Amino acid sequence: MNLLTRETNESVIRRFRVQQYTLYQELIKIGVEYLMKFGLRYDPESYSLDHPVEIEHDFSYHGEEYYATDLLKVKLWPESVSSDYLLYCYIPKLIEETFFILNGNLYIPLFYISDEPIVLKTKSISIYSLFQPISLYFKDNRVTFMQDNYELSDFIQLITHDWNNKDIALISQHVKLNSKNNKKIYTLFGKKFNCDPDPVKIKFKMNQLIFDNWTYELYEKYYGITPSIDMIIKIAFDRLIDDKPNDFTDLSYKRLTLIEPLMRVLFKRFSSTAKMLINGKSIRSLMFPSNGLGDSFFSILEGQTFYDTVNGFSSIISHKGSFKNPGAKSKLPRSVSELHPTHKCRICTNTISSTKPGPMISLVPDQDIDSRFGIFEKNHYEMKYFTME
Amino acid sequence: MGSNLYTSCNLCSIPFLGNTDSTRLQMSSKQLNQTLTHPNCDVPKVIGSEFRHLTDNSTHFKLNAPTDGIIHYVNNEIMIVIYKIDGVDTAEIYETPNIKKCSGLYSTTLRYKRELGEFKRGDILFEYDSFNFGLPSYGYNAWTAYVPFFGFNHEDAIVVSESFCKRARCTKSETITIPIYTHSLFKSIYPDSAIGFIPDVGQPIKGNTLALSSISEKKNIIQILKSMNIIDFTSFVNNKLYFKSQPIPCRIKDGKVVEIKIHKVSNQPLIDKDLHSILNDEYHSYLSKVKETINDLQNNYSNGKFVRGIISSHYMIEAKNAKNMDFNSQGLVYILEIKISKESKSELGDKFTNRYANKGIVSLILPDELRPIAMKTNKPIDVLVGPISVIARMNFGQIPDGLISKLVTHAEEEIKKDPNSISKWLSKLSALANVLGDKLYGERIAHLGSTIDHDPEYKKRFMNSIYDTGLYFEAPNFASYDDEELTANIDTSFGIKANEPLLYKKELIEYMYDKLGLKKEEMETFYNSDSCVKLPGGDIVIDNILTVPVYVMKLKQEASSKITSRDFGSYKSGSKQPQQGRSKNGVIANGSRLGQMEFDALLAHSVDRSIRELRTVKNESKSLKKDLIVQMCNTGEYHMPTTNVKSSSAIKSIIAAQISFINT
Repeated sequence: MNLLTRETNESVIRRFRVQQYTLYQELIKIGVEYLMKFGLRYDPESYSLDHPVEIEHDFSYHGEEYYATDLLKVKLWPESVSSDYLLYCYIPKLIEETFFILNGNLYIPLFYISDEPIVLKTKSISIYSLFQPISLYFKDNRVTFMQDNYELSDFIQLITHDWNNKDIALISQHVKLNSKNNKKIYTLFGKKFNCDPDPVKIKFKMNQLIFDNWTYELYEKYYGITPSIDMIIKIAFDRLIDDKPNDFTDLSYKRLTLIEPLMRVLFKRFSSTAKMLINGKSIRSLMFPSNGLGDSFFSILEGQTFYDTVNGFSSIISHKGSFKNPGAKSKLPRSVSELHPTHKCRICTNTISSTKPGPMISLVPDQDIDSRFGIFEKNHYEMKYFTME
Repeated sequence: MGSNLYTSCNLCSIPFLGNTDSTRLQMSSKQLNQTLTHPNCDVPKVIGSEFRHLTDNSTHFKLNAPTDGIIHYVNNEIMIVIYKIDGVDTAEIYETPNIKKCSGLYSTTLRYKRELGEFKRGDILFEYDSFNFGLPSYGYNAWTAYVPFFGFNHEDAIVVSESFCKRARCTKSETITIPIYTHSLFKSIYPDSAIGFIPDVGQPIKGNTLALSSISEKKNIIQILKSMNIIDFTSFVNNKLYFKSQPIPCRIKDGKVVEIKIHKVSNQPLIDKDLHSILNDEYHSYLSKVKETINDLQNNYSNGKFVRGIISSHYMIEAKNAKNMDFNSQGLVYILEIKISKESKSELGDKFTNRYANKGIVSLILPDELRPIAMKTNKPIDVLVGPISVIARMNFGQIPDGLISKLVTHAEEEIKKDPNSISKWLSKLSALANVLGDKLYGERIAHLGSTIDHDPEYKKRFMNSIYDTGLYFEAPNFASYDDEELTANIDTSFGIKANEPLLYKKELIEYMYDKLGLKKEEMETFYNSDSCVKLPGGDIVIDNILTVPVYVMKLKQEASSKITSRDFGSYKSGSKQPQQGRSKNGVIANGSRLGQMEFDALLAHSVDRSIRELRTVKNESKSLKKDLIVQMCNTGEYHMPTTNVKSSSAIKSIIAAQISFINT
C-alpha cells in the first residue's frame, strides 16, 4: 500500500564483495611473510614490509578483447628484473564494485558458500588452512598433509605425545593407538621438516606450516580459541563423540568466500614454495604465470556468470552464491531452502538460467555477514569432553 | 538467502506463488531478466509482499543513498555526491546520462534524478525506468479478457490492441566510433546537417547507413595521395582515381543521433580541406562545451586533479588511450563518437508475458476502435488470452492476482473521484488483507486509513502518491486463503465480479471475417451460437468472460531482430550453402540454409513464389543470381529462367528440374 514502508537492511552483500576483493593485497603480504618464516631472504631497501605489493593499473584494449586488470609486483631484490620478481601477475579489476572485464565480456565473480574450517564428514575430518590443509581418513587409517600420506595412528600419537591420559583415552575410541612408542613417524617428519626427530620441534614446525596469519585469525574468530594443532584435533574429536556431521543446509556451519577461491592457485604456489624452502633451496621467484589468476577464473572456478543487464533487476544476478566449492568435493545440499508446502523442494532458488539448479542460491541483503571471513553467525566452541589448555 | 525468503529474488514481486506450477515459476523468474522497460511502464496493482528483496538487491539502475549527504554537482552526464561518513566527507561520481546502455542494443531511460541539495539516508538519488519511486515497474497494467478469439489466441498466441502496442515500447541505443585519418574522405549524404557526412544531433539516419566513406580501389592510395600536390587534388580525383563508397553501418535502423563527441588525437592536416575545416569547427564547439563544464567544476572544486580525472574519464579520450584502441594510429587525427538511439513500439510477432509466465506471441493487432468492451466496468480490452492456456500451463495464480487488481483499480478510480472516501476504501482493503491471511498488514492499512482521516498533510501525500504510482496492494507471496471466502468478500464489499459480459461490435466481426477470408453471408452462423446474444444493431454480447487487469511484460525477443536477409555473402566451401547463423552487425547478414527437407516442407505448403525466390535469387549459383539481378535492375521485376539452362554442373541440372517442376 502506498506510504506503507518496511525497513530492510542495506545490501551487505554488495559491500561484502568490495571488502573481500580489497583483501588481495593483504593475502599476498601474508603469503610472503609465511615464506619468510621458512627462510625467504629479501633486501630491506627494495622490499618494504608495509607496502609489499606494488600495483600498476593496466588498461589494455585490443578490439573486442578488452581486459581490465591490475599488475601486481613483489620485488625482493634491487637488481631483479620482471622475470625474477617474487610475484609478477595480473589480477582482474573489480569494476563498479561488481564485475570483471575479461575477453571483452563482463563476468560476475560468484560467491562460494564454503564449509567451516573444521569439517566433519561421515568417515573423515578435513582441517582448513590457507596453505597447508590436513585431512584425516578413518576408513583407510590415513592422514594427508603437505601432499604426503601418513598412518593416522602414528600421526595422532605424534600429536598426543604430551596430552593427559584422559584425553588420549577419549581419542582412542576413534583411532587405534599403538601401545609402544613408535619413533618411525618422528624420523619421517624430522626428514620432511629438516629438523631433529623431536616431537616438540616437529609440532612447532607443523603449527608454523598450518597457521599463517590468516588461518590463525580465522580459527580464533570462528571457534573463539587460541589455535594450535592440538586444539583443532581436540575440537574435531570432541564433536565426533557427539557424532554430529555438518548439516549442509544450516548456515551457521558455513561461511561466504570470494577472494580465497579466486586466489587459490596462487596459494598453492606459496605452499609448494614453502616446501622447497624447508628443503633448503634458495628461492627468488614463485614462478607463477603472469595471467595465472585470470586463467584460473575460467578453468577452475565454476559458475562464473556472464553479466547481462537487460533491465535494472538483472543486477540481482550479482548476488548469487554457489554451494559447490571449487576446491572441496563436498556433497551438494539436499534441499536448499524451506519452501511452502505446495512447492516442497520444487522451486529452485537460482535466479538466472543455470544448468545446475539447487547449488546456486540468491543471497538477500538481510543476512548478517562478517566482512573478513564471511562467517554467517559467530560460533564460540566450548569443549565438552576434552580438557582446554 | 534469508530466514523469510522462500524463493529467488526474482519471484519476490509475484503474489500467489502457491497457486502456480513451480516449473512455470522457474520460467517466470528467468523472464524477469529478459523484460524490456520503458518510462511508460506501470507499477503493478498487486505486488508480492517480499518485493523489497528484489528492489533492494537491484543496485545498478537505482541509487538509494547509503548515508546522509549532499548532491554537490549535477549535469547531463554526471552527478557528484558527497557523503558524510563518520564526520569525513567522501565524494562519489555517478554516471547518469539520459539514456544508459544495457545489454546488446537495449538501453534504459532516466526516470528521475534528484536536484542539488541535501538528502537523507534512503532517499532515491536517481532511478532509471525499471523503478518508479523505488517500486518495481517492468510491465503494463492491461485489461485482459480470457476468451478464445477467432483462433488468433490459441495456445502460444495472444491478441493485443493498437494502443497497447504503442504503450509497450523499448529504447535502443548504440555508440559508433569513426576514426578519421589524414586521408579519410566522406560522401556528403546529409545536406541538411552542419557536418554533412553525418547527421546533426536530433536528425534521423538513413536506414542502417550512418555515413559513406570513399575508398580508392587502388591499394597504394595513401602513397599516391601523400606524394601529390594537394591543390590539384580534386582534378586528380576526377581524372585518375576511381573511388567506391563503403558504408559505415549502424545496427539500429532509422535511429536518431543523440550526441556527438569529437576527440583530437594529432594536429596533422586532413587531405580533404572542407572536411578539415568542418571538423575543426566542430571540435572547437565541442571543446567550448567541455570548457564550460570544466569552469563549472573548477568553481566548485579547487582540486585540479579531481577535475582533470572527471574530464578525462567522462568527456575526453586521452591520446595515450587512443593509441590502445583498435585503430591504425598512423595518421589518426580525430575520433568521432556518435550516439544513436531509437524508441520502437511493439509489432506483430513480439513476445509478451505476464508475471506467471503465460507467455505468447502477438498474432494480431486489433485497431483501437474495434476492441471488445467489458460491459460492466466499461473498459476496452487490450489483451485477449486464450482461456485454455491457463489450464494447460497450471498458472492459476494470475486469476486471484487479476481479481484483486480489478478491485484495486476500482478503488483507485473511486478515490480519485472522491478523496474523502479514502478511509472507506482502505478499510475494505484491510479486510481483504485479513482474508488473504496477512493480519498484520491488514492492521497497518486500517491504521493508515485512520491517520489519513486526522492528518490533512498525510492525506495530501497519499493522494500525490496515488497520482504518481497508482494505488497498489501487497499480497503475500504464499497466501493461504479460502477461494470462496475471497470471492464472497470481493462481491459483498466491493461489488465486483470477476466475470463480465463482453461486447463485440459488428465492425469487429466483419473485420475478423475479412481477416480470415470468410464470407460475410456466413456471419449468421456465428450469431446463432449458444454462447452469444445478438443485439439489434448487429453487435453481440458474450456472457461470463473473465476480464481483469493483468500485469503484462514485454520481452526482449523481438520479431524485428529475428528477421534477416542477405544479398551476397560467404558460402561453405564444401556444400556451397550459405554460412549458417543470424545477422551479424545487422547489415552483413548470414543466410539460413535451405536443405532438402525444408524444400519439401515448403513444397507441401505450396508456396511456389518463396521457393522460386529461394532457388533463384537467393541461390548459390552465381550466374543465375547475376542474371536475375540484371533483369530486376532493368525491368523492376524478374522472371523465371528458362529450363533449358545448359546443365554444366549437377547443381544446375537439379535446379533446372526443380524449376520445371514448379512451373508445371
